[in-house]
Amino acid sequence: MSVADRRVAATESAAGAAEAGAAGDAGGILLAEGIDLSVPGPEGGPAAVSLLQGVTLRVRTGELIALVGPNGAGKTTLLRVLGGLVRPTAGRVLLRAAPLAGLPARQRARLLGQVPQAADLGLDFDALEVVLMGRYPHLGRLQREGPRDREIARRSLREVELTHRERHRVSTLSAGERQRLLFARARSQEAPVLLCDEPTANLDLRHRALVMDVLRAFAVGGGAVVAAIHDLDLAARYCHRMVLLAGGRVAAAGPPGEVLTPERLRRYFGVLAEVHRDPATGAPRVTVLGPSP
Amino acid sequence: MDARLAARPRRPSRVALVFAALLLLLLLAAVLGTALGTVALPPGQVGRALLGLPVARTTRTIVVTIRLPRVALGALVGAGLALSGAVLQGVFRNPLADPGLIGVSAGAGFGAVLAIAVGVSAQGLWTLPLWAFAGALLASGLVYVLAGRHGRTPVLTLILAGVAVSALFGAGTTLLLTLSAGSSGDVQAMLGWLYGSLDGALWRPDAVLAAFVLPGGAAMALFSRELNLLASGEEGAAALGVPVAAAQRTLLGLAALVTAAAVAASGMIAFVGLMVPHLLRRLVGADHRVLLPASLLGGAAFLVLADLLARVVARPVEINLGVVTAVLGVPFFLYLLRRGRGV
Repeated sequence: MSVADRRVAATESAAGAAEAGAAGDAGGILLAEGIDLSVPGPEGGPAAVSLLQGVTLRVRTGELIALVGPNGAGKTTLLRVLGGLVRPTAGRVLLRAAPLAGLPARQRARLLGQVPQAADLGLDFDALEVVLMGRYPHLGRLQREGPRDREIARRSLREVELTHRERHRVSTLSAGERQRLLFARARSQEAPVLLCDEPTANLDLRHRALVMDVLRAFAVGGGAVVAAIHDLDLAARYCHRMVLLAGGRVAAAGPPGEVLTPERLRRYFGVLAEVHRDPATGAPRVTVLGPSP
Repeated sequence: MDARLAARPRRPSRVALVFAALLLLLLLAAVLGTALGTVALPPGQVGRALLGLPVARTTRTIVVTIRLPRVALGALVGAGLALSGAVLQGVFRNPLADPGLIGVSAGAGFGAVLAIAVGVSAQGLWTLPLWAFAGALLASGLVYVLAGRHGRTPVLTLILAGVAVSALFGAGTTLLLTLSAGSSGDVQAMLGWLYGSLDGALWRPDAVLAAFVLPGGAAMALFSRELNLLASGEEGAAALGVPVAAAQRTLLGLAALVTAAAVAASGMIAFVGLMVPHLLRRLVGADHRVLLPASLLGGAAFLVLADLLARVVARPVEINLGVVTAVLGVPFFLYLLRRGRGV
């Protein structure tokens, strides 16, 4: 695919996704409404620290949403709330119109895959074993992984180019390979919604593009993705919609070209920056000139 | 592709090989454990006795009513401790977890000693294991609550909580020993638990222990997949659909149950639960569906051999089994610490 083709494809699929969203699940496959989350404050400090305030986010089928924001903005926290790992103090999360909090963990995991930030993978499993764990929500207690599960796991490994590492212990993998492995594990869950926390952290250029291509194709093919991404250019290039989180609130949301403005970059990221259109992809591109005074 | 094809067949055959070796080792340990002791019996006679062929009456008595129950007890205790160790290492995501290190054994020992002190231990074979179980459950619950921090269990907190809880229950045990000093029979019985010994094994208590260890082990095996997921990260396990807190509680409860039964039967025998699963993990990998049965066999073989050592090394004096496992285990533990695994 040439660069120009990619640009066209991107535009078309965005339009297609909008239609699918309008026709398919008007309410969104995943919906967070008025999410507040506060945790007990440190001793001697305030009684409670607010991590998220009034966050509302509608995720539609066919959509790749990039979650951006400065460090500590609440991106990871929001993803954990969306994934049902943390219960919000107020507000609710609906997955296919059903309250997420009331869903048994296994059932939730069949609908919702999560790629955590490079985690410690514990006691030395090999790569294939880790990816096969993604099949857990589909298997009964006495059921063994079948050929189909193995096939799905191998496909997920192939997708991130880890096939040659299949039988290697996790402890021997590099940070980037581990990140790709976690991605493959979530993919083998075959859930229609994927939540990714920095899926491209530690990845080299090729695999960054590869993972984003996979996410994009997955969304366009009828999935839904919310991904926290630090690299604004990468996020802008691949996402349908960008949600800017700052101080636990949604500061802006919309097409990346509208969200990314020099004013917001100054205000929320603390940088002097210019935004232009990338001549090759047509996506907005941020050039940071320096920290703002 | 080539690498994959080359790498694939290695694992199953290696696992099969390890299992064959473990079975062989267990068999060998059982035969040696039956043949050797304060009185060495000719292996031919032992073989005949085991097969039910006619042998001298004393040989039969020694084999069937003394040595075999002891071998069975060693195998059951070793299997139970190794299984519990494997489970705890998975739940705490740490290769240094061991029923002794995290206070479960101390709790079980306290429970057993308390049962003797208040004089209920004579009320049936099940009383002592149940009291030991209550103690183990209390101790493991305490460690679980104390070591957990925001849903995680950092190794340092784990070991410190384990040390604290062990110290607490150890103090309780010492207190009971002091208070019971008047009745020397009680103290004798109590010391039996604390130093660990398979002396005086009988078929009936063996059966009681088996009633804990075997179903307990089977239940643990049913949770192998959850163990795998927990071992590779709590947050990830939760994301993949494991009800983390419930699974942890179930598995800790099972480990406490099996450990308690083992401690009630043989006293506190440290390091088996640490060494055996850890060594086997290096041989068969981290998958608990393989690791648990391997630990069962390995723990059984190891403890029968250790008991053999305890009986013959200073013949005719018998060394405490807990001493043998500690002598073998402490250097191993320090080696693990030096390598900094999981810390």
